[in-house]
Amino acid sequence: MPKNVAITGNGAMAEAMRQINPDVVAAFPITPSTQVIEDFAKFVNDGKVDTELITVESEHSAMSACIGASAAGGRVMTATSSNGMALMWEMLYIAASMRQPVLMTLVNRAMSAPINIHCDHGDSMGARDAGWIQIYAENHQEAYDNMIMAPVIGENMDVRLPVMVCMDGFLISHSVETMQIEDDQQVSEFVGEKVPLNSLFDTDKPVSWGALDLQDYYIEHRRGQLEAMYKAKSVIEDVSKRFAEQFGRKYDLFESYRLEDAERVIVAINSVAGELKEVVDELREQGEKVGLLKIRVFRPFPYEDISKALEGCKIVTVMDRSTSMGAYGPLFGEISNALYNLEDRPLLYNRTYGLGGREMLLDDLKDVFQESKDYLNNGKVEKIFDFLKVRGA
Amino acid sequence: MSKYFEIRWHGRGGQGTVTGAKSLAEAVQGTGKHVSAFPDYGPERRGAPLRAFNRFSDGKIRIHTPVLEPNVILIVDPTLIGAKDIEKGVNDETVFIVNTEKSPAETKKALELDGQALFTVPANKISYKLFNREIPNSAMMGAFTKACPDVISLEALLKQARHIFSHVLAEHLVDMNIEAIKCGYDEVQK
Repeated sequence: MPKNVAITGNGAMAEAMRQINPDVVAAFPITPSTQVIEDFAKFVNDGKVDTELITVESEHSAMSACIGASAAGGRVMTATSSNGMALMWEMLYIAASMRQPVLMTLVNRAMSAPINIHCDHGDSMGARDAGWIQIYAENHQEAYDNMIMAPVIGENMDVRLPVMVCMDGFLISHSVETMQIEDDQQVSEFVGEKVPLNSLFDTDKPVSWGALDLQDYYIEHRRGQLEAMYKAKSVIEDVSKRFAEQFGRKYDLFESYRLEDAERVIVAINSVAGELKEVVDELREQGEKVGLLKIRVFRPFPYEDISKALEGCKIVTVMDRSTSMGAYGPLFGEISNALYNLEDRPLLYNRTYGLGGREMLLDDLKDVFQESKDYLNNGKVEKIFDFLKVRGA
Repeated sequence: MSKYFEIRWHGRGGQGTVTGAKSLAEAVQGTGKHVSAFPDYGPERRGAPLRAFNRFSDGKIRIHTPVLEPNVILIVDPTLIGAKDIEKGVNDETVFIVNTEKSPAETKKALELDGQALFTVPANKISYKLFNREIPNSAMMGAFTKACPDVISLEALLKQARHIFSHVLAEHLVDMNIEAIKCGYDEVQK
């Protein structure tokens, strides 16, 4: 039976892992993702899962073990954050390019230095070119739902790519919130069994993984990998549709919140979308035509769909919770790409917020909408790029 | 005012304040409401002031920001009376629940309240009697249900708490915490 529970985001992800019952989990603890593996280790100890849990000595080894176990045909999961994922860096690319559908809970945390354990998206945004599918979540329910869908997406024969399910550190990972945990059996049936592909254990058909590939074929393999990422888009849509049919919660590649007739739109990722919905509702009551576009799937990035969704609005504010040093924010770049080919482009600008956990209150977000109103009234954007709630600006 | 029922806990690291907020949320969740519970995510140090928050609602809770205008303020550590941030966001309707052996009149004066409802409960005394140390959160939960029976009744709290505690505590400790909730409820003064 599905049940409503009050649970932390990390606890919810451990529940998803228990229900998925992977063959292998290899992980090394790091705040704020530690509790995911802590809870999962209890499930292993209590015999609730059949998983081989490998407690490795570093994140580099964790991802290496995941790749090896996945190449052997297993369904494989891990969890990490920030510097932990940075230590996996080399292996992140190798997992993706060896087309191993490893599944990761990435609890978003700021990158060092200075050392900071709180939320921003610098870790996953830094890894956006590594070849992983990236799916983001506003809250506990979405993080759990995304993780239930992740194996079905990543292991699809047209895709075979690793999937990173991202949620905000502390704000989601450590807070208790009401959500629904689905029935074990139903989840297990939805997820199905992983079909091994060129398994290392298939001794009748011995294969080499990770062979040398120079000028003659490297570019074709990279192109093939990109093709798989493109195909992932429709696979994600199909799997999300199947998920909605079975569990009743509907997800698209991004969420359009009161966008139909919106003139001023904010584009954002993860938990701040909850606050933004509250602010959008309040401003709508006052007659202001505002809306929110919340990114769910960042890789592959749905350029055309987003361009259609934003067509007709007058001004777009992109809120980035990370910085690409020396460039505009990563999300801003994508939205800018998506909008360029529109004949009637909206005004567009970028605001960086929340680095290292700097909080954004509802009034702060109202200020963001107020600024977009001023820009729209003046018919031009004063500052394309700026920080919100920062000293020295 | 927020459309959610909001609580702000003021305690010190090591007193179980965050656990108290989480347990209360789980108990209220058990009655069919939507809940959230979370602390201020600063460095956690034993003895340092900390805040924790709850939101309860019949519908979905969408926001994750700290509670600015609480319906209820729970002061878990009486030495925090007089701390600047306690009175932030207080209005005429705010209800105070204070862990203290002092009288409600004395406590109101110390907090410089203008007529807001205030309940006192000797939660430390109850805690020392039962556990021989200072973990006042169960008694505070008992006091909460006396002050806000519309949010959760004593009966519902006891039922839910037994269920919640039995997942994390040995049986005799479950019984003692249930006793602490009852004492907290009984020893409230207004």
